[in-house]
Amino acid sequence: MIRFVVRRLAFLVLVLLGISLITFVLSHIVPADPVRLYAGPRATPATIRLIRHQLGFDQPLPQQYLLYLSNLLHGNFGYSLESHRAVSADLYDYLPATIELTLAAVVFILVVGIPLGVLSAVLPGSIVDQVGRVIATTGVALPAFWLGLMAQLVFFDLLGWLPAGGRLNESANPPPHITGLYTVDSLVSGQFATFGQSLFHLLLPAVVLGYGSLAVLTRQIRASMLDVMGQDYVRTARGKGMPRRIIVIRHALRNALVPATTVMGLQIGYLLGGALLVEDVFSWPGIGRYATLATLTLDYNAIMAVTIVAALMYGLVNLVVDLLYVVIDPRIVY
Amino acid sequence: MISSCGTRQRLTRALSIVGVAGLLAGSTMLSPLGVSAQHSGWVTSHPAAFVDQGTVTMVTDGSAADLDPASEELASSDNIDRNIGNTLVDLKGSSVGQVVPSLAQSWTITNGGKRYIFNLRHGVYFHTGHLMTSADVVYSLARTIKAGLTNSYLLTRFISNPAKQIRAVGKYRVEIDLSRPQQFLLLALADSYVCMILDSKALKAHAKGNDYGHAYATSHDLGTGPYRIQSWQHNQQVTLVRFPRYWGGWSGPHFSKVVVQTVPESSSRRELLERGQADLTFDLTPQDYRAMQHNSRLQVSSPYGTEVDYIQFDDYGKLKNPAARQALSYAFDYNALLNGVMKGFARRATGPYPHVLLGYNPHGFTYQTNLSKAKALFARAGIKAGATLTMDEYPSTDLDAAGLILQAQLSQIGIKLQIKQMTEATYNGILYGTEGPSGRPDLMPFGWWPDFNDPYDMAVPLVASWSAGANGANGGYYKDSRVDSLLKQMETARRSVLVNDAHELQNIVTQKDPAALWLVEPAQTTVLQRKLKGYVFNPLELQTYNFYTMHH
Repeated sequence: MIRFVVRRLAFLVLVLLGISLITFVLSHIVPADPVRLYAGPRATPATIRLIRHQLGFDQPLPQQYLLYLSNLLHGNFGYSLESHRAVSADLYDYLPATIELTLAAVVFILVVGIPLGVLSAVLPGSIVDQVGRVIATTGVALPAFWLGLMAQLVFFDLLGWLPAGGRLNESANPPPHITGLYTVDSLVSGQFATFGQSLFHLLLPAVVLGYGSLAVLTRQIRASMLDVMGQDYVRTARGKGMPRRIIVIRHALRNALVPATTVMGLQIGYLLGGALLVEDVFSWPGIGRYATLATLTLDYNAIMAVTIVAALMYGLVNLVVDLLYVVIDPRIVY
Repeated sequence: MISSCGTRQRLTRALSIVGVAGLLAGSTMLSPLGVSAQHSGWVTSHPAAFVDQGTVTMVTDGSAADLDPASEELASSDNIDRNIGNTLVDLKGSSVGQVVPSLAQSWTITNGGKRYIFNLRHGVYFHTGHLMTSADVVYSLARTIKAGLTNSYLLTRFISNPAKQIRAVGKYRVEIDLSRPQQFLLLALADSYVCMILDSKALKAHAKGNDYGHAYATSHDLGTGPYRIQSWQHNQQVTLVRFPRYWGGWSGPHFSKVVVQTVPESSSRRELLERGQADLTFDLTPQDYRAMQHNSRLQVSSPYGTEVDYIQFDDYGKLKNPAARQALSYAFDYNALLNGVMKGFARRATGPYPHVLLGYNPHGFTYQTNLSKAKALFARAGIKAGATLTMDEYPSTDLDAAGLILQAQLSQIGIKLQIKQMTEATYNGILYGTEGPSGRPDLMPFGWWPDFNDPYDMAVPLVASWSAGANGANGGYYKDSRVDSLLKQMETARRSVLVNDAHELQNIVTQKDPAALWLVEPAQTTVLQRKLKGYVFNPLELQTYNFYTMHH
């Protein structure tokens, strides 16, 4: 098992290296001048040359790439043209916000999706099953940004139940930065009012972000459960008079979770990408929005950092998913 | 009998009573005029008490990034600097041409206009706690030039050797020597984005190498303004609180807290305003403005600034002949843009100069849409039906629409317009790139506004031949020897000559040898809660707000 983990991590490093090279080349061959955008329309050519030199953009590309890798090994992601500060400082601020949003979406998906999928399978044709179908259809059909705007319109503008966006009320001070997740940091530091506020602000964007994946997971669980419920061992358990609840939860669900875990792992990648639009709609200061601005302004260092971090997160999530198989199904051995 | 001593006592007492009454009456008259005890020389009553108006919340699509006036050029950063800092002089209210004292209490201009002597205000504190002296002014202005960053161009027009030309004379006097008279120096020094005075002690203490404290100034509050930064969550919110030691004082109603929130989505900004959870915003769509005009709790303020939007011509190939460029100017449907797209939140631009700018000619030539005339002019220029023109653009509300309108108009006379959309970074790379005119698209839309009220400053980057390519915003490589000659004259001309030259330049670049299709001056629309008063718009200080003057 340990050898498996070490092998996967080593492979992940190679993958990250490859991704960094491809991203570097792609971002630098686009015909654009991020330094001009950074310096503004009135900067003189001398100023542009000075800034280009200060940032190292006048060096040959291979040299720039090697320098970037060398800095990366020291935890230095370079300077952001968009935010005018170290990219690592940006990641320190924005990454936890995206992680918090994604985790909240995952919790929403699991808490709603698993029971809904199970009940849809166990009670086919019932009202629960119908609700599951509606969610499945709307979840894959409705784009996240549209859903977000509609959710804002209904829950903020018309009903006034939930805030329009942001992580806290404008008058609130954020909790001390421990993890960067406001919910966790406020709980740890005993700021319960802030905890409540941060949960309140998290609710709508997390539901919007998770809605599409909820649809996928619900249908996946339903399909897996229907398949498993038709297996011989389940029929045997039923014939032996085992309570239905025990059959469903302990026997059927456990086996149905294996493919669902795979799907969930893939969906986390989708969540990270989908966070980009949801963050924009809900003014959520995460790396999704950061990545959008970096792409539009061709902020090389920010683009590299976001790509590498996203790839790293995706790789680690899939490693965890693979390890979860062992927990769910003891027959699986690495 | 009343003794002389008793009489004197009664008289003295009577005179005292009269004197005190007179003083009370005099001080009561002074207070409404806002004259403070220090400056009036009168013995006054206490200034009006501070009336705390609480918090004002602004929502904006951008986020402050860089507070260093030597380098920052984003409106979102300007907005913060304008409130945490001060300049030597300020633009007076809505005026683009008049200045009033700020950190400089008074000034004199001597030596035939070549020496400016500024007497600084005493007792001004930076937010760092240090007292402002002439050393801070000298260092702040000099570093802007010497650091060679984004905004150095503004002062290098006037000062080439700051070490020699900008001097501290005593603790509260600064002298600036110029090589020749410069009528616009004061207006340049009023530029709140570039000429903000910073705490030189803090800058020097935190300088890294030769950066003149730039890295530190990017993210630290070193100003003297009415508000100081309480907290700054990047890409989220900047919170400002009142600076009790602000030299301008806190008499009367003022907000004690300012929150500037980043809300990228315009529909969200609109919702926040309509629900009363924000007090002001800008950069919504024209449709939003129209709808919000009917909301009794909101006010939609649409003054005109100094911005001009245009489509630049590539002075090469098909458009080399002025007749072709005149044809395009006749072909465009201005009404469709003004009323159809901008919904009336814009007015016609008739050249490179906005209406409020010195040098604008109100009787200048204005094109009227005339497709027949356009067709005839294209024919004269040798452009036949079936020809194709190219345009590059990046996403922008009015400029995208302008491209589509032009495309539709040209299609009616058999000319095809190919539009290529790209990101702003790519677009800037082309506009300011080193590719010559032969490698550029025929048309490139853009927008511009001047640094101060000077027609030379406005026109040089756009139409001077030496501003072509990487040297300025003359992306079409426009070259007209008459224009170049006028600009050289305008740089040092007296006001009356300057205005005449500007009129002639406007005529050439609009009618005789068009440099661009001059489209619109967009209204600088802000939506505010109706209860919010004291908003003063200045046409040169676009998308920034002076919260100190605002109240309920």
